[in-house]
Amino acid sequence: MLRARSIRSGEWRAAAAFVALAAVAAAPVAADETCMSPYMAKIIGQEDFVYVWTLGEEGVGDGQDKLVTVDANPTSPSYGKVVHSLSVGSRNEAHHSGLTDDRMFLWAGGLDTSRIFVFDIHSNPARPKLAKTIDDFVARSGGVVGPHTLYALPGRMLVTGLSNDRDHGGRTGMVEYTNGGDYVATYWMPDPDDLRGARKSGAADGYGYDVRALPRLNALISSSFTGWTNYMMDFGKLLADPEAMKHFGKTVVVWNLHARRPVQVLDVPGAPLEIRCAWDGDHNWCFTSSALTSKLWLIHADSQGSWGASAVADIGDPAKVPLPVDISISNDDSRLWVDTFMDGKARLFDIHDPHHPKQVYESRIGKQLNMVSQSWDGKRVYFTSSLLANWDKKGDDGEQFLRAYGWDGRQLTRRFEIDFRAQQLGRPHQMRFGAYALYGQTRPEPSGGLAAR
Amino acid sequence: MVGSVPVPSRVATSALALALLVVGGCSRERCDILGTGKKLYSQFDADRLPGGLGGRAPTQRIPRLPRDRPRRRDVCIEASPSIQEAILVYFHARGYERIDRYLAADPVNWYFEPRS
Repeated sequence: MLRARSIRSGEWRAAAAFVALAAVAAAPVAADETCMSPYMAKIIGQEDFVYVWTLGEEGVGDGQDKLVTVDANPTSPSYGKVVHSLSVGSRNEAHHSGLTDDRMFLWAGGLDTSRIFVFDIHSNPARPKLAKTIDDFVARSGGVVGPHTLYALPGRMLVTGLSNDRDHGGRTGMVEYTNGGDYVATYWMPDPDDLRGARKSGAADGYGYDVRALPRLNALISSSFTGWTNYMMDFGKLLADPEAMKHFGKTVVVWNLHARRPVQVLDVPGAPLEIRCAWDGDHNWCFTSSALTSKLWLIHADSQGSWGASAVADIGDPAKVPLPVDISISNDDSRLWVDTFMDGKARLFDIHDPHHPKQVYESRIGKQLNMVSQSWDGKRVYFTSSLLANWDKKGDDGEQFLRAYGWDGRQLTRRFEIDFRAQQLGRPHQMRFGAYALYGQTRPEPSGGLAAR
Repeated sequence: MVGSVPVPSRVATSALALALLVVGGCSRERCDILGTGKKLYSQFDADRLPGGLGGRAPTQRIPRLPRDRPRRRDVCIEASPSIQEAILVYFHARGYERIDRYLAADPVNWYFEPRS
């Protein structure tokens, strides 16, 4: 079939390069800040806002999940301040969020209730509005639970699940919507009972977590985590439950992007989480990190178009279970930030040789650490603290923050921080960037006071 | 500074979309979302194209369209190099134009939309 040839032939690569070159000349919208969909327009200069999808916390403010807007432009009088907070009326285990390919809307998921909140961020980038709530995700998808990654494809959003409504375990699928929020289709992960046409190098588990596209290879790459029963369980209880600990993902799946069909199941034990793919046209690889075994994995295609997975580096001391969580690749594929939750550290790996990453820097950001987002030029790096409501540390170790840093190529320097608990906001999780210029707008002149919360 | 946005091939009719177009450039996608929030396309395998390319009419695989936009039929097709020219000719003859803003990111899958 032509589809099979598409990821194998040199003819394809040459033609693809030609088309890409022609397209760059004709329509220079190509990419995004380092870790998001390549179909998206990108902010290559200064971001104006960081949108923080924040878990509600009982007894903290209104206790609801909320989208918190932080002014991130140093030229603004409200730089480093919360300029807007929009509560959604409920607590849903707010987790990840993703922009549509045109960056008009931000989709944000709740892992517990499986609700998806669609925010209008283009009408007034400083004051997002809730445009739509999708509350029939489970029913429409045929039983997928826990919308996790919300990933932009042309005119579409691809939503990975973490679980299912039959046993609340890890078997799950990916669900496709139009940008307008209309359900399109569900793609179940290949599992031991039904590989759905995929080849496997070991055992398929049917689990899901993150997804990223490498369009020029016509590939989607998905990873695997655990089901609702585990991610909603108290973390201490989970670690002490040998049976529960058996139910974590151990696979990465390579899909045919065009057909949305699984092609290959790769063994990646230890719960491989975030997927970050290279930007360079000759770099046919992506990174992931395994949370339980604390390793960096390289997912790579060979010259024949066949995919493999290799553990290429330890993250900290795996024996101490630092629990790597979020990772972020630089736009030139030379560096990879890796956050570890338990020791609160950010580590920077040199990945010029992706088969042999070397740690070149580390810094303790806080007592716990989860997400990292960097600007396109890598000069600004933002961190948040919360992992999951029932997995976050307790007491004094459970600090909740957004911390913004400058990166000069040698070290991180703190720019500002926001204490989310002191400001009665909750547990900050994923960050996405916004800019007036995306919508042909300019920052309004100061009117003597900050926007109301 | 942001990545520039391509000028649409046709002008949207809503005042808001026009305003956006004037002040900052407006993609078709953006205008579509401002208008209806609907965006549909169907995926095709290259070997399933009609005529000399396969054998089925694209409309046979296009999903049921919403009543408020009965003519809205966007298409995604896997465009292998040997038949790219034929694909362009085929869709052009049937009133479609390629959405070029996705090409830089995705030279493998081509997206088409009805010409106005």
